[in-house]
Amino acid sequence: MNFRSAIAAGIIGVVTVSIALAVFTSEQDDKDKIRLAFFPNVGHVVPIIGLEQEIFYEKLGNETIVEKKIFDSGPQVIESFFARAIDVAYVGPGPAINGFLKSENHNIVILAGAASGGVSFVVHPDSDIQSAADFSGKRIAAPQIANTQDVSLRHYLSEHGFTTAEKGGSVVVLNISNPEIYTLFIKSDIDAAWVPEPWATIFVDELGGKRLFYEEELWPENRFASVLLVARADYVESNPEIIQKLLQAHYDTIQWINSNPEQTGKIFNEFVKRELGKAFPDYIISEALTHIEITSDPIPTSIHIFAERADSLGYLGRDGYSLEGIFYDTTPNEQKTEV
Amino acid sequence: MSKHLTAKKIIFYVAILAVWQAVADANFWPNEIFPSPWEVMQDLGYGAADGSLFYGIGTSMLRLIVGLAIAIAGGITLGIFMARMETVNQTIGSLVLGLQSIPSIAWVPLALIWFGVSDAGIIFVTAIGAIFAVTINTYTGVKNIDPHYIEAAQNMGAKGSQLITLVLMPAAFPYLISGFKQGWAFAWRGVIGAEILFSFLGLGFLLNVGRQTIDVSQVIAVMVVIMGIGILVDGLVFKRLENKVMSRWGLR
Repeated sequence: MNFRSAIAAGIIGVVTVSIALAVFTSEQDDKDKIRLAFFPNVGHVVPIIGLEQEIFYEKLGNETIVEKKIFDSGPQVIESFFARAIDVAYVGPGPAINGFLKSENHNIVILAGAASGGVSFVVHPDSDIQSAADFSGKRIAAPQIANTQDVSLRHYLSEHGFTTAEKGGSVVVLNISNPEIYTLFIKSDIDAAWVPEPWATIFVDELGGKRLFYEEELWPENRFASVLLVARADYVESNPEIIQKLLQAHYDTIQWINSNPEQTGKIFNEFVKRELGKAFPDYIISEALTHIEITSDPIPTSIHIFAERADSLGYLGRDGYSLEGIFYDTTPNEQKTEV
Repeated sequence: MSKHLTAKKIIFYVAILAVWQAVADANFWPNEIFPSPWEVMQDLGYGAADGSLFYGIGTSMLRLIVGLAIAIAGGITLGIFMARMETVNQTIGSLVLGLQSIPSIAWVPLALIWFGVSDAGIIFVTAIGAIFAVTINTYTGVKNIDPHYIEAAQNMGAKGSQLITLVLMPAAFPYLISGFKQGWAFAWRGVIGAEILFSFLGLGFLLNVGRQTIDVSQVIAVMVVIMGIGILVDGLVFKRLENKVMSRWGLR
């Protein structure tokens, strides 16, 4: 009996402490804080290097704390914007456009570009896919519904005359996170994947996959925005100075990355190892970096093309759309340097 | 009586729609977050037009039927063994009670690892979510059979499978039916939940598409379909079956 009541008391104690912890650590809005979201992907080296090399801290000064939030996919980032849990984020154009159109008063705006390219279509070594003609009956993975790779993949499929399985067609699109795609790739559960770096390079170098094409080959001038710096418009309005400093840090970081490619890879990997507890092999990262262009150019034409594609997939609602105002005018009086 | 009841129901549902429309029109929240019933209807229309709604319903129902069939077959077997063999009851029986407290969604990570992103994985989640409800009801049903029936049957030479299919199951049938009904409810929740997490075809996938594209009217449209199917299956299949069995077994 005593033993039982001891156990019961123990359980009650643990539950109480857990609830108390959960209550007291929940966050509150703070004025001198900028909450920055990004993914541990190679396309997101700008925030990672910016934080690790302390370029962000230098520019933003002591009074502004940069709080980093690591995500795995764009739609999650947009949900967090809606919940006002983040202020600025590095995301792909798919979620950026969706967030802009679906938020109240277009509350999500693009501040600058961060990367172009860095996405590939990789075929599993056991699959007989040689070209788009062989897609019938295949299982192809992309990170998440309505994310940038998903829009590109589904557009590519319909361009080549395929319908996806949920509409009765022959191609199954699996929307799962990058690490899970990796697992399915190992288990030979998928035929191909439309994935960002470093995953594309991992699939090729470690798992024997075949890179059928780089996504940029499908774009005019071989360039398309794959990562953008976006922000909550009301945050930008009320903190214009912080945003200017952040942008300056963003440009400086891009410059630093492009003049120190080797160190970039190392720092990126150290960061990933510390944050996620597991690093990628160094050679994978340095190769992955060669497949991507780090640039502050948001390549606006590619954003408009993305929007058209997402719209034709039914992702942008049914009443038409307009991208007017999606690019936030970030040049007040300071000169900015396009890199 | 039934005329009166139908009128009441119709008034109630019309009132809900009217209030909903009024709240949506009042624009307390932007349309993207709180769509009107009309927009939800439109979304159902779009889903029907491109066929995705029907493929979704078909896929989910197929998984449900297979999963529930496995759960019913497995649950009845397990329940009968538990009721007839004390050792099984003392060992597996205690485990069943524990397993029943695990929500079917909690099996999803295991299913993903064991079966990958496949129909088999979702069916596994569905079946395991429903099987223990069937088991426990079968067990209770068999335990509650008047022992004289079983003794009489055994005296007349009934053994093994004969005893099970001709005596135990018919005698416990009212309990079995409520087991099926509970099992179906668990299975339906399991299918939809698993589809949302697997994000692999079916109604749960369509709901996920609505979520990821921040299309709230699609989310609600799919929820309405899920509810509609629930009401339909409950009312058309299980309620009728239950009524029939109850009156035939003289319990009503």
